Amino acid sequence: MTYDVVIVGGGHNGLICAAYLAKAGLEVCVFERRLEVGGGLSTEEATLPGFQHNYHSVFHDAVEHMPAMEDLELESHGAEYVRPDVQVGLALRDGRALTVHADRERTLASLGRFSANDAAAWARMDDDYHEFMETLVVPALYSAPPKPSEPLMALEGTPEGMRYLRLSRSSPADVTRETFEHEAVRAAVLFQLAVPRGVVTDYAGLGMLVPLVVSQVELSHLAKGGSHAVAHALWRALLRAGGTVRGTREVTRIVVENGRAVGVDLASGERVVARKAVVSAVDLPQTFLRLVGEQHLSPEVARAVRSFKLDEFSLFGVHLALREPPRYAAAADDPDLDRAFKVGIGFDSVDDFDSMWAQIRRGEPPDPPRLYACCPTVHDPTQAPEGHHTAFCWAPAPYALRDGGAEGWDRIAAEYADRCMEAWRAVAPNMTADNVLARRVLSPLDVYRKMTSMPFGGVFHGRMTFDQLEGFRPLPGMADGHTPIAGLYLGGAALHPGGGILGACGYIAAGTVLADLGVEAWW
Amino acid sequence: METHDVVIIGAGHNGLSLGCYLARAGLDVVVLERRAEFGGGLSTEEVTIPGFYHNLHSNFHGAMPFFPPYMDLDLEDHGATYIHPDANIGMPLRDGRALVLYVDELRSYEEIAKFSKKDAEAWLETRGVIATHVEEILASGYSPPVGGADVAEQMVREQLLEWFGADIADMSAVEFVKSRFENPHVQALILFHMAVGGWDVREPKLATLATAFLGYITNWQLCRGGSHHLAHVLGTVLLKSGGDLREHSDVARIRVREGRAVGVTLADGTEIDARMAVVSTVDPHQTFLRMLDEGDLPDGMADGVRAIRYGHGDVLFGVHVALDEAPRFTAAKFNPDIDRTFNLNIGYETPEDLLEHYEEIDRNELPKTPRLEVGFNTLFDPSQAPEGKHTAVLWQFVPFAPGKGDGGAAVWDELKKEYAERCIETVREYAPNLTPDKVLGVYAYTPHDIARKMVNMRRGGFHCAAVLESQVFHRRPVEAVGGLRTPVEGLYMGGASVHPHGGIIAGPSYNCLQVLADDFDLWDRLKLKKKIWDDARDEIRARLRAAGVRL
Repeated sequence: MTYDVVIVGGGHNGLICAAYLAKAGLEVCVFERRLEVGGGLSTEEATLPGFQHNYHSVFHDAVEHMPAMEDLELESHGAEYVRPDVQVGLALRDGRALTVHADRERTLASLGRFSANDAAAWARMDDDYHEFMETLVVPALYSAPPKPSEPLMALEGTPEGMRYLRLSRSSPADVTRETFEHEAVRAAVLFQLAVPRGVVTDYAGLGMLVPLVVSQVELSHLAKGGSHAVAHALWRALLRAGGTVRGTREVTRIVVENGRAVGVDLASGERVVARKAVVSAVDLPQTFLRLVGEQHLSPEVARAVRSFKLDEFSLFGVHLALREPPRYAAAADDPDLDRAFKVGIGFDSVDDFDSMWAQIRRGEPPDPPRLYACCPTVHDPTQAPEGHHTAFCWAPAPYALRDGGAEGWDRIAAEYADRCMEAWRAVAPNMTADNVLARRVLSPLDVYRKMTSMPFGGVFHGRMTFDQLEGFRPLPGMADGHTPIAGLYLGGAALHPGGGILGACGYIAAGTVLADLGVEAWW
Repeated sequence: METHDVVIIGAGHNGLSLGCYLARAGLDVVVLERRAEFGGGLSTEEVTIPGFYHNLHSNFHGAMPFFPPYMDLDLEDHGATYIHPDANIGMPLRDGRALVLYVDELRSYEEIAKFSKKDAEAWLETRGVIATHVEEILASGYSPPVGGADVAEQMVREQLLEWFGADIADMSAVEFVKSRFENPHVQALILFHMAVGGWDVREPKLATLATAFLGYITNWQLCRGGSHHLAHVLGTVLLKSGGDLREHSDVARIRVREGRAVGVTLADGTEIDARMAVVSTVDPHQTFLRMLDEGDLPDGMADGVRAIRYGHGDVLFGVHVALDEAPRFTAAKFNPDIDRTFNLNIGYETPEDLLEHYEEIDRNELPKTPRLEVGFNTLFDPSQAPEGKHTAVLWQFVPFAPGKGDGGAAVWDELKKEYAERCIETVREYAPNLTPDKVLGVYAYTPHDIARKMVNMRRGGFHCAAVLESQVFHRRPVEAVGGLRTPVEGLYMGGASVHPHGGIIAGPSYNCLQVLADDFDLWDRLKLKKKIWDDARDEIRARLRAAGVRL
């Protein structure tokens, strides 16, 4: 088997990279270890027939920004999205509810019920940063990052620029504290960082995520029919562009000869020749330590790869087939809560986040579990049989438990799922055993078992800290997909801008490969 | 208005195959699928533990060497690989012996001879007859049925008489097998192979089906990577040939104008027109009673459709197991190959064991003692589980709705966990190393689940219309309904409910293709490779024509 370009890993980034290259006229093949392509675009009838459960990504925030949607005509290939009006809801302990809407005025009205000052501060921050986010920050996700000095030089000349630079050196928790006074409002901002952005509240250098959240330039979308429908759309786009996908074909080695990547070996024993490039869309440690092998790396690079920090949290998921959707007690306070796409449970204050992260860092399953809860069928009834619902909650959790390591999850998963359900029921009284037709638990260990590119259950393919983002992701010099090995490129979430269904890493890598080949980008 | 030459309803393997053939012939084709995943019975899911792949529906693919899409569509070039285990079918016995049949006929002969020398001879003789006439047998399955004429039936009768030296045409499979083999274990293994084809081995006049099944008794093959991988390959060929494939597209209506099917309307209101034909690969009930109005059908036809029987002999309870280690059968002392046999009969030691289950099922009772068809796929394809681990699939014949009532859902929800354990217990009796601690995960899949997931497998039956004497050949799905060409002009049937039957054989779609080729003058464009049965088919047809049958 010989292709121009061999792509390792058929997650959304691998597929996007492949489709762009195939459309540029290259002969491309994607090799995927699993039966299904799509990686985190995974939907399975995990509980009962007809009930679709999105095991990994659900909240797709970049739909309105990712170039692949239009360039690859994904909608005509079957990727349809719904954008829930009520984006976020917090079910608070005191029975109140705060909701964040796609519509700014409705958001401000909800915030105003908690603090008029905060509503004003939110509006001010949005006024100050909306255009900046929309025209500069978000589009920057889709190009290779600039030199670190470039944004500094562009911004240091004005007071506004200096204000932004200061804010972007802070942590999200600090910016939230100094901007808003009410704990619930602060919590509503911080709630939107871990999922789907992978950011912990105290990550210094990521304070600019607060105006990003407040500006609502990125709105959460739900893929109609389930996230995996988007994988099918990408698959169709790739095949239609002349590319090829081989599922159930695990790459065991990236073949490096004379310092150049020339192909891959498959578990089946076959060798695949890559005439022009190999793109690895799997995670960084697998790419270099397992597939390439340290013998092909300089000691510095090998050390840097080993030092790359993996995610410090994973998600513990409880997926449910339901008779009726969760009905929150706090909907009495704000009826929009029942229609909120992403519902926060146990997140009432900055302290709640602090205590959750502290427990996770100690290897303890958060007690109480703090939940990202969602009922997709409220927004897309096709994901369950008529008159029925699916729902899930994710509790951020450590991969390795202090007590029993990662394997410890097999022991406590059922019991921890019960506790998640208890926490859910405390705010949504109808989440009783009666209402639950079936349940499926996916522990952090299960995440890693399923997706080996999510090392240690880390869905972001590496910690989203400031020192591992932009020009430094995954390592200096590799942010646009280049690696120290000629002909080998990175194209997965190890790259800038990181994990999540952003459709960015594979897109950037495709541009880099084409530029090296002297082929003009068609898009 | 979206318009295609041909609109195909249902993206099971038949719909996909037909779509591939037509797209390759240059037709504008769309295949519409209600579910999120295409492939129908080509379904593989990680239902127990991540990394353990389970074929929830078809697992043992018996038609591979002559599967028409395999020959015509270059499926291997697109990634399909089939594994054909040499120790192909077998049964461990409680007394510590084992009977294993091999791809290698002489090995089978030797193994059968350990039980009965006479049966070993009968085996070679019977297989010899079938090998001699394989073309005629395949021609019957992979050609549109010739029907309605006594002369055709008489020809089949005479053919069987000539082949087997006995008038077997009116026999049931049980009678046929008992007439040729004497040892109860040999009888049981051969009958098991027929029973797992999903038809009642007691049903009279199905001996011709029995002979066909004897033809591929050691042909069971495994799709590498899981059955669903074949769906991916077919989908790839379809798209690469210019066809379209759309999931989440539930056809609510087949639109009929002036007696002609002109297109479909999806549940979401989308209208799609068909210039040439609409092909339904879903069951007759959905096609004729849900997607069409009774007024679109000839008088009395709706009643004919309502009379079709679903779910008889093809209703299964599945137990999918994640295992810490491979089975070690007690009977391996007798024949070590039993530990590496693909399609296992565990528990049906005599024909009476099988007949007892049929009778219990007739009474709507769950078989008291589970006896199973079992496969350990990971013995042959380790990629279907994490390294060093294994999967097992256990199939048990059951009634769709045990006890009373007709839905079965609530009953099954109560029974399934315990019954799954009992099924595993049956395996354990023969392979004692599979102690409870070796069972890492279990997924019980009831007929009710099957009918919910695959709505055209009504009453859980995988043939999408039971295989009965009154529902085979030109009478399939039932005489009043009309087979591949329906009474509605422009509407064709191409799924498991038409000749020959269900299972991953691509027979119905290949037959539908031939009818479409006749009706739309497509033969030259299809560029089909010559099949080993083509000459036999032509000869049979010539003889029928000479006898005055209108074809």
